[in-house]
Amino acid sequence: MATWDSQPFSTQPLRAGYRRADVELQGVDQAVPSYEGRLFLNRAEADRETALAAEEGYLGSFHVFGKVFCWGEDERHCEQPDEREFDRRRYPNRYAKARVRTIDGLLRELVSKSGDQATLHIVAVLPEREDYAQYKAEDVLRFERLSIVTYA
Amino acid sequence: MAAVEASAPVEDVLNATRQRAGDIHLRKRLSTLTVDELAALREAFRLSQETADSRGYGHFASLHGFPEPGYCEHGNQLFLPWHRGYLYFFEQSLQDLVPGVSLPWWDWTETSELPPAFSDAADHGGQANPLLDAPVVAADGLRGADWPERTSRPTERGDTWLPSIGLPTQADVDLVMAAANFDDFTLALADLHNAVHVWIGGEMGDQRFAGWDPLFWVHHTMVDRVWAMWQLAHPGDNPRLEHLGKGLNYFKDMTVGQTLNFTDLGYDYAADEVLVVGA
Repeated sequence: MATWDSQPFSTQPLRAGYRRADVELQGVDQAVPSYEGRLFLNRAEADRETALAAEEGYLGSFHVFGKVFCWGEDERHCEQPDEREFDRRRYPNRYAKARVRTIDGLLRELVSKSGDQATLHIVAVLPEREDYAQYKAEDVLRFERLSIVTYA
Repeated sequence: MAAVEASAPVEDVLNATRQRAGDIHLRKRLSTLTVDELAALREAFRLSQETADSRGYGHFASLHGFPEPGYCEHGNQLFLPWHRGYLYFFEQSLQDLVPGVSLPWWDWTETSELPPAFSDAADHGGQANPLLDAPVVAADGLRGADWPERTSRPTERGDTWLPSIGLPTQADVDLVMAAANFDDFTLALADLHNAVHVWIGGEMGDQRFAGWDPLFWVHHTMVDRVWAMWQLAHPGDNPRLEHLGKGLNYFKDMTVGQTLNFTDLGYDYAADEVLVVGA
């Protein structure tokens, strides 16, 4: 099972007033097997059997439609080249943005039950296929940045 | 929108009269296709799958993911325009084969299972259903030397589904439709779209090979329809200005800006059509 755990982060900014809160992932690598990413707050032991319910710390899911892996053997085969002046070619994007908008009040409710710090956990649920069993967390949950963005 | 036409000839069910008149054609809800319309769709897919050159199924299916890293756009503002163009050019190729045929939209909100039209083993005549699967071959009828062995058989779905998630509901679509701007909307709809790919699994769950599964096309027609509905409610809220002049990658003849008005591309979305034939 592929999981990702955050380091503890301050819940103080999440207690302030806001009208909307998003869990935002930037630079999500699509050269991975497709999966559903389930987000849990303060639930390090969550797994694919954990109920998708607020009382379990479930915040929502995002889905990555991946291309499994990059087949090219040469270095940077599937990487987008750096932009150059006069280069009009357009390269498909390997890295995507995913956003999980939390349900109104859910984050607030969960944070109110947290201490000064909280942790975020992702459970990557892959199709139950034999050739997918080999993938570990580092093969699947690949992204540059994860944050919780609030809008006043 | 339901279209009601008086005194329409029977052969009009396939948009053929609309096409002759230079009128836009209607993309209908998959579950409301008539027997004749479904037969026409199957014939178009069958002929397309038998065409081993750049006019055929293998060519269009492969463009999504090949040559690597593929041409498709995901997870950014070009996701919807690129796939609208992709559907347009594929649908045009189907209409070359069967005049008047159009891509229906698979409304995942009205079902919890795959649509029978795309999961039945045989068509109404007892022939193999070309909407069930397709051989994973490129435009020339050949396969890439490094394609995985599992794709040497026709596309599959079946037992690869994730057990715990289902297809999007109307409430999910309503949430997407409530997005306040194009950027929010496209990311929310992209995730719903991803969920369907992941749920179906098999080739549909693999960005490189998804285009070969016939379900891909009606799934994306639904995605395009949701965008069309959102556009009607949010006129002028489009991809960023800097994108509008860009060509659609492989389909360079069409720019992002040219995808925005779907009736300019010759189609609209209908729920159903009631033919009223003269006495």
